[in-house]
Amino acid sequence: MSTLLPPPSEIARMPADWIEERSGLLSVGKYMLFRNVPKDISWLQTLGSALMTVFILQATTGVLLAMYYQPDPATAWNTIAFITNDATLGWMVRGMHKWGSSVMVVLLFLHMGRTFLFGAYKYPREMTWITGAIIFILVMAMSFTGYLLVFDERAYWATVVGVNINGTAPILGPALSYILMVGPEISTHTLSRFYALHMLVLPGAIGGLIALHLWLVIRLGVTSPPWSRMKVTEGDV
Amino acid sequence: MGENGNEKAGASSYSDVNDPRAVISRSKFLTGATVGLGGLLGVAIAVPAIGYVLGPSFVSEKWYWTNFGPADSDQFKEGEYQPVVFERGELGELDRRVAFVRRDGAEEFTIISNTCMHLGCPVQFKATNFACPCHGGQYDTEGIRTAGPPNRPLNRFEYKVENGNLYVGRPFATKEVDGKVVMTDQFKLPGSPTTGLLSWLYPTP
Repeated sequence: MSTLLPPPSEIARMPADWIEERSGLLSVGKYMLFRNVPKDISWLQTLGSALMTVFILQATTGVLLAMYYQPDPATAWNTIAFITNDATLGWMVRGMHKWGSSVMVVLLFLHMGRTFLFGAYKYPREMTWITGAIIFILVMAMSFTGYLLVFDERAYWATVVGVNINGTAPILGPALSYILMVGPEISTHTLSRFYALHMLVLPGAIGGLIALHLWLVIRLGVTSPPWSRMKVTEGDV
Repeated sequence: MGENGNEKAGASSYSDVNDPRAVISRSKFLTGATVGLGGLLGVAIAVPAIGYVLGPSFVSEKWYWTNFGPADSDQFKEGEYQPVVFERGELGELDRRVAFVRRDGAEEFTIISNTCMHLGCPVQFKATNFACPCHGGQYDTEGIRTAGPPNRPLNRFEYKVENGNLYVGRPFATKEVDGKVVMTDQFKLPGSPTTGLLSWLYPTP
């Protein structure tokens, strides 16, 4: 028997080996996860992972909300009420999405503040900072477009004010407002446009930028805090 | 076959920079052609797509004349604003608008829109002035700003009297000229100035 079958430990590894031999994905995963980091990093360097976790949560609860939500002025609010009051655990899904959006903005500010105060945006990490800044703008756009979707009075008037704030930019401001509202006033198209931006365009862009952001973090490594007493060794930046 | 053979035979001379035929190598030409054609295809797809997204934003809106009832009705009084809630189109609640109607003569009216010219919140009429709850904009009885952030007077609706009925149409931007409100012939978004140098910076799309 022993000559016919490899030992059990090897059998258990076979599926993983099969995947690794054909795709190399396990090495990629190891390269990404098992990296050397400075000894003196702290919880402050975990804000980025926390943000990605919230993003994944927002995407998941967003998909769940989309299963009942209708972006139509006549029914939007009713479907929200259905999710909140009637759908099993719907209040929980909506609550997570709503509070998660605030958590994401708060974490974003903390993450950005940490990076700024530690000087972690400096050479060679400028591109990481730039992609992060673009993600920041897109998250603001997510908050703005998501706010309208509830389609109650508060959502409507907050969006009126927000769109008109866009309109106060010189030269292109009014055109930008027209593009956002699909015309000079809020209409049925405004709601569907905001929905498409909120659930397809912006999350897609944020996801792609997170991938790029992460790649840069993996490639360049994590910085020590400014008060670090660790010696800089050859190859460190 | 013969031509291919000739090309093959001449291949070495094509990489000679002094040969006028060797301005561009085969692989460079193919790379350029792929990128160029791909780019053209991309533009051919992107341009209509952008038109699809942006076009409807700049189509002029369909407007309606809304019948406000008999023009000689005593609900419209001189020196007093009567709020009228109406639906301007077919979108139901989304098309709900509020106009403040004041009689100036037998068939003369002042019809002020309730959209604040700061950022678009609805204003209310309080005995001697219009006031906005959002950011504190204040206007006098003619709709001229007296306090707060708005930068122009309230919009006014065009109107007509036909067969004894008052019909209300589109709102137009107004400007203040020598202490009086003058209607312009344009719709402008809240926040876009209508007088002075700044008005040139806010073109109507």
